Amino acid sequence: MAGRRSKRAFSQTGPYRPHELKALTDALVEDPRKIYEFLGVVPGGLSAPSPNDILALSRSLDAAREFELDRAPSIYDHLINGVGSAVAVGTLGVAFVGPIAPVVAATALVLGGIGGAIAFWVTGDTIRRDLKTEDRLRAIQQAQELLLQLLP
Amino acid sequence: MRQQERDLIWSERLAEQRAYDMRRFGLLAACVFLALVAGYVGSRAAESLSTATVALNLSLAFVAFIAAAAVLRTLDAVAIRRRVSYRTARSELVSKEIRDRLEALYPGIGDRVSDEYAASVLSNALKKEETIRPHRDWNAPV
Repeated sequence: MAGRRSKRAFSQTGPYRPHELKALTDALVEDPRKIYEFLGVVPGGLSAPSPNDILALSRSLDAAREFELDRAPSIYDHLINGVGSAVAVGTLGVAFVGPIAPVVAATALVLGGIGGAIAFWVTGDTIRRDLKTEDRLRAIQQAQELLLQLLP
Repeated sequence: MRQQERDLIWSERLAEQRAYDMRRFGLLAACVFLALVAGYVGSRAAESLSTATVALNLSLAFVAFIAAAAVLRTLDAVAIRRRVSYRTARSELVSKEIRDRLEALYPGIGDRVSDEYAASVLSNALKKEETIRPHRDWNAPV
């Protein structure tokens, strides 16, 4: 799944290299003011950044944003997780057929337990990816606001 | 913001989200429990019903529960996507303002700065930063 996403993302980044877009966002997540380092200027200093470079970095940030969005969990991922969790809990619930069919109930308990554990892990992973995406988008947005402040 | 602070905030948000998910999971588990118990007890109470009818009731409760859970989860996902959309929209607005203001100041700059040029500026900037931070792992999976 991850491999498929990466391949699709690579084809949509145009002339930008995915690892460079990722490195740009990584640096901004640490501190959005690093955008000044990329421009080669000191905030409040005498050296004025080139307007071409400002626009170029803004475009790079746009590409980085699209790249992040492309890697973010989709509604489909959440839906699959939801159905997976529901099936796991539901399978555990089938254990209530114990008085009618003990073998079915025992099987349901085992399958439900395994399915529940897998669903729990996958859901946690999706949540983590979602939180990361939002964090990275926020860093990109803040960097663009800093670029905007540099304009006369 | 220091990395430690960021990690702390992030882990708190993850814990919040996890607690929310656990509450939802518990709610769903309670729903299925009630549905199945109601189906079983109801069916048994009516002694005329056969075992096959009881099994059918349980199956219907199971399917209804999965459908309800899928709907709830989709609503959750929509809420998450809305948050991401908000960030995206803000970022797009700022980007547009940068473009418009630069275009007003330097007419034709949008045509001069192509995506290829922007990619080369980014490469050079990252190479410069690399000399400051040589430990960055360029081979990390994308």
